[in-house]
Amino acid sequence: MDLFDSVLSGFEVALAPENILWVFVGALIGMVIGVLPGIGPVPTITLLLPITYSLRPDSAIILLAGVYYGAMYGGTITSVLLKVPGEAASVVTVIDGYQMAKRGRAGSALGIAAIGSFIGGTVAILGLTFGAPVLARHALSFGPPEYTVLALLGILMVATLTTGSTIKAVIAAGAGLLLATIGIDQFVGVERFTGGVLQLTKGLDFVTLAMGLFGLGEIFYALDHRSRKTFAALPFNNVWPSRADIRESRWAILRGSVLGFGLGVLPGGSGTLASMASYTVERKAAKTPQRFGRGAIEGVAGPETANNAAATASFIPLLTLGIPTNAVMAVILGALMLQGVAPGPNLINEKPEVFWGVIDSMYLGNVLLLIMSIPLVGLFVKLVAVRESILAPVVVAVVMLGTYTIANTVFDMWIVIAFGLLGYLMRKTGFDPGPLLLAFVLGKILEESFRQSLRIFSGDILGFVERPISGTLVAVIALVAIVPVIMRLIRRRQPAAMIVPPEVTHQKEPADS
Amino acid sequence: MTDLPEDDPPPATTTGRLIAAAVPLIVGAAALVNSILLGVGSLTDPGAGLWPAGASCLMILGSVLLLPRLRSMHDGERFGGVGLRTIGLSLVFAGVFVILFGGMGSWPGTGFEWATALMLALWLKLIGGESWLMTAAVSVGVTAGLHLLFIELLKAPIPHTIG
Repeated sequence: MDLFDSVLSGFEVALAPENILWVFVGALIGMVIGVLPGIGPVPTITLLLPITYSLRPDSAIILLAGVYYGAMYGGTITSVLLKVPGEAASVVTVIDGYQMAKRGRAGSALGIAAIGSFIGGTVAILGLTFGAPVLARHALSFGPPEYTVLALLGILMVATLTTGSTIKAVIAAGAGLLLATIGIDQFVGVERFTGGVLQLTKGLDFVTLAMGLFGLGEIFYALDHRSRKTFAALPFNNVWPSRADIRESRWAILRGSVLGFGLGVLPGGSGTLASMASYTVERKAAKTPQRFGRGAIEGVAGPETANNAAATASFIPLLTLGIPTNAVMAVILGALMLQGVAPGPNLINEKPEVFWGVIDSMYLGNVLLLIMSIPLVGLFVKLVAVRESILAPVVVAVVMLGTYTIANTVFDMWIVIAFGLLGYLMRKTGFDPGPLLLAFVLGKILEESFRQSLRIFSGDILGFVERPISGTLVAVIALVAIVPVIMRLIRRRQPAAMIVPPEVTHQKEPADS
Repeated sequence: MTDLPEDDPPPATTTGRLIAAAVPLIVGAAALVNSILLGVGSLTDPGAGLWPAGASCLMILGSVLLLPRLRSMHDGERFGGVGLRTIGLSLVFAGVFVILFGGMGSWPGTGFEWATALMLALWLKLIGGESWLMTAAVSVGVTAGLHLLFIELLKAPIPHTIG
């Protein structure tokens, strides 16, 4: 089957009536939680896992993917009209988006964000359509050593590209790796770190971890910030950008698409990072950078395009290598596993309906979002008025019941509460929980393939360097470790280039990084 | 960088940051000791403790690097009295929910409806400060909604008293 036939067969899956329904439901849920501050895509997707058990694998992932890119759309609306980023990837949109709204250009800001998101998403889907099969073909020859180095690279890049402190991300990743070892060691059969607790011998479930860290953790964190004023939305009229708006922002959209796609494919690259990088690039590229912060349309168009492109592109490593690159992808990996589908280079051949169905559904999802976002703006603005104190206990109840349905044990509910507290404390002390969850998921792959590799190499650790692909990846790791140091030196030379103050980057963030 | 949320809590104190760096150091060290006790083995024949020992070292290394930077870092937030009270109450209510839901081993659980309604009511009244009417309406309404979703629609095997 050539590429064209494959893509067509994917559309047959994506355009099946029930899958159209799931794209719609997913995108709508995504937009709603994107609007609501305090609930990000990670807990939402995790909460939907019990529902996806009863669905076919393609429908399940189509629904969950819709939630993710829908959230990227939804977060914009509250950023522009209320100065409240609904989710992490829209934090920078607040800067110029709200200024535009204050100057009576809210419609232009929302419109250009919707159009940019659509273009960015579509460019990334095109990249996914053509790039993923090539990558999957190459990955077929990967053995345990390649997977070891790849997973290691993933964790390292997550730490490097995090929106918070790199050192703290490393610590969180270390903790995630340790948590992954709890339970019986598959190679030797010894109990590790169970403390004699029977329920821990099978290890921690990533669902309980995600529900705790991101579900309860974010609710606790939001409750702590509850002193917020009531929101008054700025007025907006026709949500459609003028021709001049489009002309002004077309290059920003183009650059945002490319940048977002590139950062989305990289491990650790997330919508949050892509939007921040795009804002920096737009400011640098502008002839009159002083307009930024005072309602420059490129400051909305670029980041909003980039975060959608990145969200879509991050499916590439997951679907082709089986390696999740951010917390959301880690949860979607879990969803695939629960369905008995192992993502990796074989997915495209063994389950083409899942692979192409999911990719093609994204085309549809982006069109739906573009159509829905404009008429629903008014409704979404009202949603923000729901008080957090009412929302919080409802979310807690749903999280706890959802956790129970995973394995029917009350013990897991206690684990969720414990990780909820940990997630809150981590966010409060400036640790991003994202690297922890990701390292937890990658940790199992990493340890297994590392130990298998050691057997293949009979203990010779240089074996990693001697194989061509893993050797190249080791070189990339070395690069990743050095580049940030150089970047830091450059940054030190021009401190004015830092536009996003660190207080912003670490506080509102990352349900998705 | 003009219009950013103004209600951000004050940054963490140096002591707070010190604790945030010391805790992973202690956890990492404890895990390292345990890993070594598990048996590290050799590279040709890795023991159960080799991998966790590596992960522990990562935590220790990170914490050690963090310590000298404490003063220059500006992330982290100060813990406030109101916030701590809210989080404390939230944890208690979540715990009450689990105890009522699952029982404590010695007595059977009550089914999720009562546990959910009570947790919601406690939360709405004591943390949210909602009116009695709002409290009653939301807790009963949401419980009914969850019953419909989990029991009727998803047929989830959750212990329930109604239906």
